[in-house]
Amino acid sequence: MAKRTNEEWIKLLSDEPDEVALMELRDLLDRGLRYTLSSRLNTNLDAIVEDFVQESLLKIINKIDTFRGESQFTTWAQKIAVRVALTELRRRRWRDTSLDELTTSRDGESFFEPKIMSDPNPSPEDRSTRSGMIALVQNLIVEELTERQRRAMTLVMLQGMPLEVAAEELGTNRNALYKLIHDARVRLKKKLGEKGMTPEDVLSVFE
Amino acid sequence: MATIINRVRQFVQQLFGQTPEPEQKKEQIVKGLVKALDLTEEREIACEEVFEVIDQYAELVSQGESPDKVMPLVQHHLIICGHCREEFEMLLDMLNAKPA
Repeated sequence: MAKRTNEEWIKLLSDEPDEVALMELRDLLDRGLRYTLSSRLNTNLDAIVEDFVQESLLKIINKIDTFRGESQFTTWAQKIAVRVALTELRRRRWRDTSLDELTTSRDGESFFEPKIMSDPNPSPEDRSTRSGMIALVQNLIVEELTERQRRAMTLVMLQGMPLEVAAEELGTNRNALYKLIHDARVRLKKKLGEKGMTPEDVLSVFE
Repeated sequence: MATIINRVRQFVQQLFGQTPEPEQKKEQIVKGLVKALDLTEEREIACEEVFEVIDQYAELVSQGESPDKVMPLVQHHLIICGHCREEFEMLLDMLNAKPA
């Protein structure tokens, strides 16, 4: 592949993209995705890499105005290809998992729901036991988090739903979803502190 | 394939009673949650802010720079967020792919 500066890449791929440059970028993405996916997937890469590369090239050309030149252009293009590939692969993985779990019970699913609270105010003695500590943490979750925060944590942290899928479920985007869960974590940590406890204290009960 | 393997595993678990009891499951959840709280900082950056700079970060790390020195907030996010960590690791892999 010809060695080009960032400015040369931008010039060649803007407006009417140069065919040689486009083909070289296509080869770079194809080679990189095959290299990294070969160790992650046990499937025929030909069937999926071509689609990922095509979608990535479209995104790269459409977003080329947003490239700020703070890395190599090719690295910037590769990060877009990684996002395209992993977003689709996570959706597929989740689809398979979800189908499996339709046939099984999901004990953890209702963990964040108020109805399973067994002891909302465990005594200091109870806190030294595992069940007492579980009750304390559940109590904090139910009292301190909003319903939306509980739902987000259930989907992402308990069920392992991909962030993009969970964001769609909640009518938001990945960034806002991360912030929603971050606010919940900060609040829980603060409230735990107000009870004179650190995360290490809680974890020590389970050791 | 993953679907079939998971169904076989579930069947074996049901057969031998190895499915975690609800109490054990609750313990796992609490431990996972509290470990996340342990790592929680008041100031964190979110996924898209990380995505904006992950190409720069990956180049610096692949050149041998120390992650905690070049962009500590990005490094912290990658510890917390498995999705972004996976994207970073895959990008590093791609940077190391040999030219044709």
